[in-house]
Amino acid sequence: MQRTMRKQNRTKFSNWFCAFALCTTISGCSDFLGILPLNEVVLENYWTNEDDVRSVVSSCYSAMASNEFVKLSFVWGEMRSDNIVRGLGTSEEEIEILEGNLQPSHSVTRWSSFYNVINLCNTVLYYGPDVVNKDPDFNESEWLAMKSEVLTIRSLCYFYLVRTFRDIPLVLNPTVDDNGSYQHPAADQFDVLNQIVNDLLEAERYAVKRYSKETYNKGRVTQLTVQALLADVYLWLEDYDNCIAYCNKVISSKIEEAEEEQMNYDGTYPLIGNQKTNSTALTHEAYNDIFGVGNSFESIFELQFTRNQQSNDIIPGYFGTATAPNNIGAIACADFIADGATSGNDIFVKTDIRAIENFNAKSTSFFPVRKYVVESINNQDVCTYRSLNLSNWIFYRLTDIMLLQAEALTERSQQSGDTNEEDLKEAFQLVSAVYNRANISQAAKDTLQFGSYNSYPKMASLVLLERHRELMFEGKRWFDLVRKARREGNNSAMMDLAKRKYTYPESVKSKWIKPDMLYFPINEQELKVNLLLKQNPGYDTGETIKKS
Amino acid sequence: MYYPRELSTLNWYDASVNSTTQSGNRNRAFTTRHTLTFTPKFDNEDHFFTTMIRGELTDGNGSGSGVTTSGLPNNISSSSADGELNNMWTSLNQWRSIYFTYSAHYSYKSKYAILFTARLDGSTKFGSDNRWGFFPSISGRWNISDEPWMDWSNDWLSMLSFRPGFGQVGQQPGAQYLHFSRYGSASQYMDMPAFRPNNIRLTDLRWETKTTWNLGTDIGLFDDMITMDVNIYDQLTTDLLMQNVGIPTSTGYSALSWKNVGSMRNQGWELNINGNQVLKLGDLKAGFNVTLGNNVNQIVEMDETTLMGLNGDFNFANGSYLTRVQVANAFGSIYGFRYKGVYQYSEYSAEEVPGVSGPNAPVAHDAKGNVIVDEEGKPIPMVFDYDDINYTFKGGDAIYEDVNHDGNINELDIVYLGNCNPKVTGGFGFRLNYRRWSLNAQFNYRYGSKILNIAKMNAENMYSNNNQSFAVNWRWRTEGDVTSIPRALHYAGYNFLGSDRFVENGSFCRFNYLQISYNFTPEFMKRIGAKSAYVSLSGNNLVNWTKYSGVDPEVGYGGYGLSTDASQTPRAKYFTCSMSITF
Repeated sequence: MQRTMRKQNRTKFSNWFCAFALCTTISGCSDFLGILPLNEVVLENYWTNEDDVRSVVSSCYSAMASNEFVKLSFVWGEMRSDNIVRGLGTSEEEIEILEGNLQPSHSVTRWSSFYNVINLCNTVLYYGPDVVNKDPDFNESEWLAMKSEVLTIRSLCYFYLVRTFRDIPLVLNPTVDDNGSYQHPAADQFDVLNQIVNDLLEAERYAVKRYSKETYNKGRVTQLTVQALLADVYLWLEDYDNCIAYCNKVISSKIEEAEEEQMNYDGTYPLIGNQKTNSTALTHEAYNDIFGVGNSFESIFELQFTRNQQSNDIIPGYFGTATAPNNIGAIACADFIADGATSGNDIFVKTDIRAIENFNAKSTSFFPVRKYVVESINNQDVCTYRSLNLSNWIFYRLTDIMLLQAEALTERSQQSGDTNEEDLKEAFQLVSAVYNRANISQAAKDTLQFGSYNSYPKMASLVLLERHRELMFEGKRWFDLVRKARREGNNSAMMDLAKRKYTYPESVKSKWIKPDMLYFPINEQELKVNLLLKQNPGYDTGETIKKS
Repeated sequence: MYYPRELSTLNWYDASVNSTTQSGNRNRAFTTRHTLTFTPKFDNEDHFFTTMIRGELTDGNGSGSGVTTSGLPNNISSSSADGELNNMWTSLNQWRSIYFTYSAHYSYKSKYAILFTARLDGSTKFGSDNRWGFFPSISGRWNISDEPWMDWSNDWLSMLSFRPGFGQVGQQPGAQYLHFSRYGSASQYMDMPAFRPNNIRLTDLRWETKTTWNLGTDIGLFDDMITMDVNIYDQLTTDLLMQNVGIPTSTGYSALSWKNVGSMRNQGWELNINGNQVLKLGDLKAGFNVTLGNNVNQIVEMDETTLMGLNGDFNFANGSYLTRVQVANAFGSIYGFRYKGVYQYSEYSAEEVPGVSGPNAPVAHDAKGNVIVDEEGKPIPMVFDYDDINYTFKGGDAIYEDVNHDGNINELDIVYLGNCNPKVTGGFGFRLNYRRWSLNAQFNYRYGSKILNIAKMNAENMYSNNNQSFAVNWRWRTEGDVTSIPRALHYAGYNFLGSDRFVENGSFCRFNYLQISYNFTPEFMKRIGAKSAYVSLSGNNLVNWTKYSGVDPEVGYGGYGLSTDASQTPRAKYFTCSMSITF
């Protein structure tokens, strides 16, 4: 009896012992199993000092400099416009878009590269403030300068998205875990635009005015970038007073900068001038500086591409290269623009040197794009092609802002009912300055005369035409046209311009006449994984078809 | 590794010419395993019990480095020689695992047996909440034929047993560090080094668990001359792990690297019959074996967005078929158009005018088969995708059945064309022995599966510059041609949309294996001083009986997608002759 008792006790004890041993082993094992990656840093060990913040800020830029991002900022801003027709080696999808048949299945409707940048910005904005407390060498003002860079980049991304897709998900927090639902409904376009304006106003306060390193002033966000972007956003919002005010800020800063640098320039605005060398020859200094060398005086913000790091393959792929047949890329300039441009046509007058700089009007079958592709043009109009795919991509430059201001002034001129001639005159001055820089003969017959543009409709179409000529192939034209249609409340007049490149213009016009068609469709894959999103009604053909 | 100049047609300055790569890896791993087995001895020997507990722990790490240089002088293969440095890399890795198992086996006489096992697995691939997985299994066996009350059948029933089983096993994702938000370097912008988060932290990732129920029976007849076993199984995979699950890209990421997306069921049965020397005619002995089986995969439950991500929409492109993964439906259903031949004429006329027009022309028909006409009495042409592409069919184009009679071939005309899963699969074979000769023949078969013959599509579409098959000689060329092959259209037209034209029956029966062997007589072996000696001749993949027009209908099935045959290299037919002598 006793023996069995003891035996039972022992069993009990050994059971307890085993359970205890197992517990300790398992909890010990959990530590044993908690290994950290050896080649990467984990979140728990990151965000401790200033360099951590700076490196992720830098990755926001580096994500913008990805080929997909640059491609989309061009495609969204220009592919549907009247500038572009197919070139050589154009993909089937690109041909469909260029024929006016944009589909939700097209890869250019994928916005992932923009939200990728937005998520990086959100990550910095979320973790950055804590680092100020952790790192004694990282002070509040340094943080605020970085914060304003990131806010501006995020606003730029959202501004592209809202102009392209109208209503879009507005995501302001980083995606870190898998326990969220990830499903963000589309926010109304004006909520997105309000967020952009508020963010930019905050960014303007703390943004760096000038970096100590010269290239940073063009390649990173400065206060000037914030103001330029704000001007563009205000114009989209049809807030002309604010747009004019912010354009003024940009232009006067540039004038100040020109004075500091003791730059010589003709007229009121500090533009790089082209020189006449003799009666027929002239230099293309402005082009060579702005698009050839890059980071010119006129530049406000441009993405930088450097050797052995990131290259800009969109320019050779889309616009053309030195070695391609006829230098042509996947796209070419529309015939009605280039045909006869050097001797004068509807778009360019005979003396306009942008007819040489923007494209090769003398080509035979296709008109290849020259902007960015050509590194320099000499005074005999001979082009030197770029040997490395390292052209920068310009988001904002001075003449863009001047013409934005001209547009805002023109619109404001008729807001009060009567035409305000002061505004029109000021707008005319701005347009003239840009125009005259490209028409340097400056004989009276070659300059613009205010008398011919003294009414609102005439001035409005002059401004649009000047933007067309000046900013061709810079990813601006389609947004200019959409802005016009939004203002007018219908697509009719805008489509009369946009349809010109098509073989069957009327069928494209009738297809795109609905206001919804100004915007791109949301990619079909995105709709499948985000049940809260609704397709742009203009492209929604799935209503009648139900699949089980 | 060294690539000499002669092996490449590239320019001399290309980075892969005269390039050499040297790399090294060093890995170290410790494994400790402890096993404790306990087998008590019972006085009553009818009882048998054994139990075991085991724990194993592995800890390993490794490092590696390498360097690639190119543009070296000919025949220099050392990477330390002066050349252009193309690449240098180092790597570090670490792995750990741990598990405990427990098993117990008990049997009483030869009649009852029960086996219980449990496994506790620890993984470094999950976050601390989901690190451990517990996977029990239990199975039993009841030899009914050994029961005393079965004695009446002992003459002919040598074995009857019942084997029920239940078990769970776990599966982990194929990547490490998923539960961390990891920061790695990105390409530098200007001169500023960049670092960025590279993934979404998967805190919610869990073990995938497969729970299997199995009912089996073993039957032996006539002293095991004929043995049979039947298995019915049902496997339910819960917390199904899926790689690259699409999420809204507005998160900044396009996919989760892994996710537990739902559950999947695999049900099936299997029947094996073995006949051992069922026939004896003097020295001739014959046996046979037959296998039948079937199994079907279906989704029991899945996240709606994941399901939609698996299911594409019709893209109006040539060559694409639709399939859908649907809850409670087997995988592998093919959807497409019905192919009805080739339009003979472009112009319609009720009576054929040879070479000009005829009734077989691309015009719309109503449900009664009458031609639909417009207000002027002209027939309405048949178009493809009126809303967007709006292609008007012409003579020589493929005819697709206009199921809803609207004169428009679009996604609404897509119908069910069959399923890729076979109804039955299996094999059979027989063995013959005659004195010292033996012959073994094995066959395998599949019945009732459908295959997309993509090879045929590629060889008959006349769309690109690719070589085409002989069949294109019979293509439609001029108005009035009667043929089943559409006209040639270079990078144009819609002549090879996903239709039943390329869906074929994949049933087959393959003569898989034949072996003839001869064992030498003991006298002969004694003469040469050998212990044993035999010669054999065998052939593999000898004949394949099938109606399938492609090379090989034995293509994979059972996945989310469709079974396609893109003309894989056919199975080799090979013969082996062997002789074996043991001294």
